[in-house]
Amino acid sequence: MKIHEYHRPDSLEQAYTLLHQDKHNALIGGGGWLKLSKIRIEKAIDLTSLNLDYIKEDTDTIRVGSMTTLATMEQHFLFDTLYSGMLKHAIHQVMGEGLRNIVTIGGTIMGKYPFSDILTPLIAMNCELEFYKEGVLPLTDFLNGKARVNDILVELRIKKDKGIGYFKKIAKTALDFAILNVAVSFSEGTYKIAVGARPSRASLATDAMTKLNEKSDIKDFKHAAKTASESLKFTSDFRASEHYRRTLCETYVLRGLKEVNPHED
Amino acid sequence: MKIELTVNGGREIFDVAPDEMLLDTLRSHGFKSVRRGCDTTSCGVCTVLVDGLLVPSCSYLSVRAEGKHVTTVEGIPEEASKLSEHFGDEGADQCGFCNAGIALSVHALKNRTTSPDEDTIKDALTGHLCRCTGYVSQLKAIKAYLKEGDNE
Repeated sequence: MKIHEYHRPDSLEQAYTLLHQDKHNALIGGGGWLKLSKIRIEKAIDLTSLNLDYIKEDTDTIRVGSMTTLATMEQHFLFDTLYSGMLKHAIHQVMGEGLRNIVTIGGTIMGKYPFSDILTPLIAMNCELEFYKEGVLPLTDFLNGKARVNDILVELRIKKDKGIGYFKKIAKTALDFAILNVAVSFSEGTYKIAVGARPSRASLATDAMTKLNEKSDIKDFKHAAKTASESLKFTSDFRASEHYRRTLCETYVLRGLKEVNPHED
Repeated sequence: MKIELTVNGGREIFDVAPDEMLLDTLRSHGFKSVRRGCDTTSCGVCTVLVDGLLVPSCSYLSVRAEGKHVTTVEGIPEEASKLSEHFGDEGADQCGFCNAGIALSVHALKNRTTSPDEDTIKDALTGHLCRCTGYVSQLKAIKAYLKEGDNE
């Protein structure tokens, strides 16, 4: 990583103008993963002076400024009960307190990191992103989009659904990246299943969800868990084999569905 | 780039490169308790406090610290000395490479919690790698140190 110039603009417009001056200019979020990158940045644009560090709530939405750190989110009461505290639980497992004090939610989202423990529970909820110029985009559309969004993320919006959530990070040690992340949610009659660190980026298990969310009183959780493990793409790396990840997926999706099941005795 | 920092209570002007990390700035100015371990935010030996918050200095741009208060373990000498005695008593002090970062985490823990339970102490230790002890002796030492503080 090499930075030639450092800029800390006072307005979103200044930041946006700088970003578009040169394709080698880049935004700096928390900067926690900068060192892992081989990027050469001509002008680093630091967003710390733009007042994007906030957590606010409207009637039905929690709005999180893109420069809010994971530690701030972890400590905020609004995430204590949202989907059974699933997001807070996931944040708590992101390495140590020091890293959580610098990593920002905006950097986490814009980086689309495949190892992210946060993207998995976020896509199992109901999230939108507000960009400075491009407006509002569903989080899943942004993550699935192949084109690079060359804009500034202003805030993450999370719907305050009344829902139940389950999150499981499977890792060899507390400080290691996940072998697999699983998030399952149930809200207003709809199940969502998200699986991340496959080791590719978090994705919804749409085939399994379609069957589960059909209008029927019979919910076959075992079949849904098997469908999720068979329909999603898994690959092998030095942490785990494709087969092991698939097996973990089936096991933990089933546990998650049982946990969020509103009819469970 | 010239930045002004307050390190352990003393104001200093540092000349830093745009991509210089706080770890390098501090070490090059003699704050050698801040150590380089993994250099990728995983091991905790480079931990310092910036405006009271724990941060991995290996991945914190120095320019971002402009105008802020930075504390290294040299800035908490009495606490570090007491904790060190407990580490000695419990045999937690072996190579000592991780101690400075852990001392700052214990300092931060003590500042925000009174009488933390074992899980809370373990949480505070997550983020610090120690290749000597296996953490049990450190946990005992930290408990004893915090108990001593409660009794003072």
